[in-house]
Amino acid sequence: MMPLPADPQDVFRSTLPVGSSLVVVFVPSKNRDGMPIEQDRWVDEVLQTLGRQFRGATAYPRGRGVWRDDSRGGELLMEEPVIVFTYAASADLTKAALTALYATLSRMGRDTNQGEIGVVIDARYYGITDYTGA
Amino acid sequence: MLRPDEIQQALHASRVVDLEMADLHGPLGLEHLAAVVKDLQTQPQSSVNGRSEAITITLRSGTRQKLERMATTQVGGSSNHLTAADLAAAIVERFVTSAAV
Repeated sequence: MMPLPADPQDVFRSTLPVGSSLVVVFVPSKNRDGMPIEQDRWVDEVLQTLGRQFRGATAYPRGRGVWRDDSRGGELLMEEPVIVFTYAASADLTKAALTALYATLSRMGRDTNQGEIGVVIDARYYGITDYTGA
Repeated sequence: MLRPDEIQQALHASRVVDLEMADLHGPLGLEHLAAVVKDLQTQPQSSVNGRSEAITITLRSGTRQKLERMATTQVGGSSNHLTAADLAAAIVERFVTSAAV
């Protein structure tokens, strides 16, 4: 007789809900003038926001990147963004949660003088340039 | 589950691009995603939903001038420089996205 497949949640005695929507935020390392920003502070802020709204998040530093500022003649800015991601349960991915995320990203974009803040949710990229939120 | 247009509205996103990636998950998926996003951010900001098309519209000269003034003063306090065409496209996109058709 074939053994029944194990339920990982039972095996690991996990109590956390399993999120199914991948939410990714890119925290920049520089402002649009190429000057370093307080990246660690903003990584912490994004982690806290994602943690509050979706019960957890992970920051994943990566190598290097580049960003072209079209409003400045296509000037290239070298970047070392930190990827912050979470797996959100569908029930937690609400307008209120995204409004809270927008408030944090709006402050980050405004305070660190960014051209665009990028968020990926379920294989769609959302580019934020309106930093008039809280 | 929120629809993409509802997510766009909640995030005040100026553009949405469908990412045609098979696997976003795990360290390699995130590295790939970061590379794709890097490429996206080097594209013109008017690329909406990944497939933008140019159309010609006719405006009254007064409307055109007002649009240019609004773009110059950077509506909404954004730090990005806007052209009259960028602003017109954003207005049309927002109106059409929110229309119940």
